[in-house]
Amino acid sequence: MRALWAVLALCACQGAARDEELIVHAETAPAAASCKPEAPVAVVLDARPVGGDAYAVTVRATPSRDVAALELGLVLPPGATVRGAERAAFGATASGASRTIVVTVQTAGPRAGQLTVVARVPVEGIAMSRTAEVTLGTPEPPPRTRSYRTADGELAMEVRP
Amino acid sequence: MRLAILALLLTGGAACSAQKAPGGGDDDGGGDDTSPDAPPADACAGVPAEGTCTSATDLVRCVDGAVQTEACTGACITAATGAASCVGIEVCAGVGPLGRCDGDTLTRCDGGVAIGDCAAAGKTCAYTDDAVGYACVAPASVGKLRVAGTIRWEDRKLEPGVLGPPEPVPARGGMVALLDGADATLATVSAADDGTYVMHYDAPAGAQVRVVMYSRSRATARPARVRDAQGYLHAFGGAPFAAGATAPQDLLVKASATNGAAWNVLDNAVTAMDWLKARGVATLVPVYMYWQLGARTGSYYQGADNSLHLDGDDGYDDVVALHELGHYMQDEYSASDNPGGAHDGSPADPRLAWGEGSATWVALAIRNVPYYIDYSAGGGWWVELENRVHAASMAGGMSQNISEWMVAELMFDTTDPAGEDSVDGSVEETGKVFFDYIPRPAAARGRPGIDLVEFLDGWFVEHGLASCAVMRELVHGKYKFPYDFKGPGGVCP
Ligand SMILES: [Zn+2]
Repeated sequence: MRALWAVLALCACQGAARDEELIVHAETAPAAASCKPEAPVAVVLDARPVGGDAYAVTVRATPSRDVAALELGLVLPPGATVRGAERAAFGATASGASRTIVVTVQTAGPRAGQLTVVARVPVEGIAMSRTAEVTLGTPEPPPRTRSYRTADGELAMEVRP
Repeated sequence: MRLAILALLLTGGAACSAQKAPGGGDDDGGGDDTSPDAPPADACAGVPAEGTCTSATDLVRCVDGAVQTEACTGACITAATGAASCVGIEVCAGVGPLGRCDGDTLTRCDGGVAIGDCAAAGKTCAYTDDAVGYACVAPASVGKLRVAGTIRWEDRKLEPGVLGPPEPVPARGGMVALLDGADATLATVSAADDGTYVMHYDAPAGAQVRVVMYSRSRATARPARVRDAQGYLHAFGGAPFAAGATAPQDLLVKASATNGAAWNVLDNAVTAMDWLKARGVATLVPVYMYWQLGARTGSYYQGADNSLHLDGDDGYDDVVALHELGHYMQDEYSASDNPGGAHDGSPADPRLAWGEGSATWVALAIRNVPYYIDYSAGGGWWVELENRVHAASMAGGMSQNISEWMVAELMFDTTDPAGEDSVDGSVEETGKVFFDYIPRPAAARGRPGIDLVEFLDGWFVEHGLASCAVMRELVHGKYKFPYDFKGPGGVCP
């Protein structure tokens, strides 16, 4: 039984693997098997490097039921700025209809940071939200780990300071 | 097979105070006993001024020549100096079901408080197994070397739209082990609820060893563990040190660590299992939790293998974790016929509304905070469930689709004191229906399967008809749910 699925992929375009050709992508959607209440809206986030630590960001939100309003907002990496509207409020949106915003995000440098899009829709008087998130820039190296079995045979993944 | 707790009586070791009691016979006008060389009168018949324990909970001391007795709320303990004093039940806050060693002082809180000096009995305080925990044992039965310390993790307090700053807290009941350089385990214990642990082990002189904490509670009273998405137990290791070193080995998992929230997930399971035990559940079934930062698994519970999956951004979402643990409780100790499917709180199949709403009630009742909160970047979303009303329709039937929020709201109203609603309830009263009636309903009414109608039927079966008026005000008046008040518990007037 698998619930919410998001795809986070680093997609190298054909030809020379230049940084400008790397697109980061994330998407989340209501899951049939989820055990927690979820906002009835699917979110797709694409960030395409355009050089100079800047990214062309496209956000698309599609509600899975008629909603009275739909709001999109970005949570930027530390030090980043945005050209274009960081937030957008749309009116009533029918099930299956998409709302899109396109902006340029200028990061503070090559160091990695999280870009999150938040989609909010009212349901039963509650402003429910869904997020999708990508990492912009060079990711932090993973922590030092070692894996082994504990005394009673259980697998363990140890993070070392 | 419980270890006998050390007897606390300390007798004969302390002499009575040398000071003479006032009015102790030197002003009665005669007799040689007024001589400065005469022994002092023992008005307290051997009871010392510094006190002595006469039972596990009774303390006597000599005060101004008179014996005073004190009944301790927790336990009477004797210090190394011989002085006795009372400690309150509050000392149990940092102990847990497996006891605690502080040097050779053993504290157990099994029913009452018991504090004893293992060394006085020629024993040492050490970990025995996951059922008993810490006990006074023969020194020869444990390793010759000893390491102790405290394991902690950084919590982030959850409030609507906000995660608080990291704050170190004990890893209550957390698994701790000592490993050598080849990752072979030399000892495994559980921490007490204040995060302290003691391990005895054997290792070659000069060997390098390290202490590792794991996201698992080994106590049979709290059988829970948290694995990553690949099934590995989360672990955090300290710096290696030479075997035999006696310096404390303390560990702190930072909230910024990739696996930091695993201990928050575990702590929620510990809280839930202690809550279950307080509700009378004697034997806890293990729960296998899965959480990994960044994993997009969604959050759900599977009864087939008692696995509980939390989405990568739900690591500090206590309410989501407790909601999922509510599904574990339904699976093992209550009942649900939840058909599943995506849900957003809008009116749905009443069996789904029961399954989801009563799981949310578990989270609300454990926290005693009427908020469902799902935090994420940007603040996430939340809903207040005490004042808000997601009403049904009096024009609909008892099997109409209803909101899971209404189920949680109504159940919380039967849990909290009167004030915001008509019912003066308690966790015990609502829990009795959830744990005792719901698994074995006397009748199937409403939609076939377990739904809110069965809960309301159970309310009157378990608690009688005295609450008919206030329940009618709640169910009909506040929530507009057309319950007929004619269930197996009787017909309300
Ligand atoms: Zn659920």
